[in-house]
Amino acid sequence: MKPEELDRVLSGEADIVPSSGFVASVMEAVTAEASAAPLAFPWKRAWPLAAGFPVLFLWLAVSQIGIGPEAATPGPDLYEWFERIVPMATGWVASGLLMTAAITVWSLRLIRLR
Amino acid sequence: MSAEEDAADVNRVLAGDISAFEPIVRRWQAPLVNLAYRFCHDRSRAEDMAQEAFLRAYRNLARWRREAAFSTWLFAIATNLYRSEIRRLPPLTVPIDEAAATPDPRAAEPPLDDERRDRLVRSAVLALPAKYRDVLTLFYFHGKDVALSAASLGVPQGTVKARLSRGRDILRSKLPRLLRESV
Repeated sequence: MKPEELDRVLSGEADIVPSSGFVASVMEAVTAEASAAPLAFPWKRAWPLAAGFPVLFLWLAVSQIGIGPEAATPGPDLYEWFERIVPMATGWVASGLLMTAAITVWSLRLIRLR
Repeated sequence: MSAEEDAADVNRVLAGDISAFEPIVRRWQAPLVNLAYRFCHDRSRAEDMAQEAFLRAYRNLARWRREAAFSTWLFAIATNLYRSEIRRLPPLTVPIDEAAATPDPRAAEPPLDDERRDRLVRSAVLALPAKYRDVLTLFYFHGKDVALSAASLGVPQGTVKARLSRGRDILRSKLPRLLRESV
């Protein structure tokens, strides 16, 4: 088959006409999409976490800084505590960041496929 | 004129008037359905794919950066969707190598008429490896416009030209055998 013949065949493909209900069907889908209620924030799952942060903060304040009923006795040295915990935390932070990056990439791919 | 109408309708939709999306669908239904049809050669599936493309455009309307024409943006969305759909659920064609190797049981039929031959050539395009199939499909759909095809695919024009040339070469090398075996 000659190149110009191939060109002619591929250029000459006849168009089809969309069915008469096509526009209505698309608009129905669009309206359904627009009227769908937005996803509610998952408070039931989030509240234990939200409550946990102040508790954790309080625990840290009481146990490490030494405020509260036993504030008179000096607490452990905060700087020393950080020095001890930072090397351990580095690995956790690095793996946390890696996991966040992986989840972000995966979510973006999911959105693109949608 | 159409570009201005598109921009005006998009503004209305973004302002909350969903019904303004209807003129957009009316203007672009035929091109989007036809582009889908060229990817799958199935009318019903083409309409489903085009509907999904419009829905995706509606969801992402706010992301249309007006430096490109609305139609360019719409075709890029549709092309992206159609390619993933075809990857997910390929049309009923066999790979071009297998097609050429399969003996046709209707060997006693008369030589191919033009219409049958043209259909066979178009099916052969769908059986090409995806990167050549996509470029050939878009190039001929856009009236042999390399720039438009490149914009729809999101690749440089040079890539489109190279893939066009390679895709045509593959087709030309396989077609004689396909045509011979189909008579």
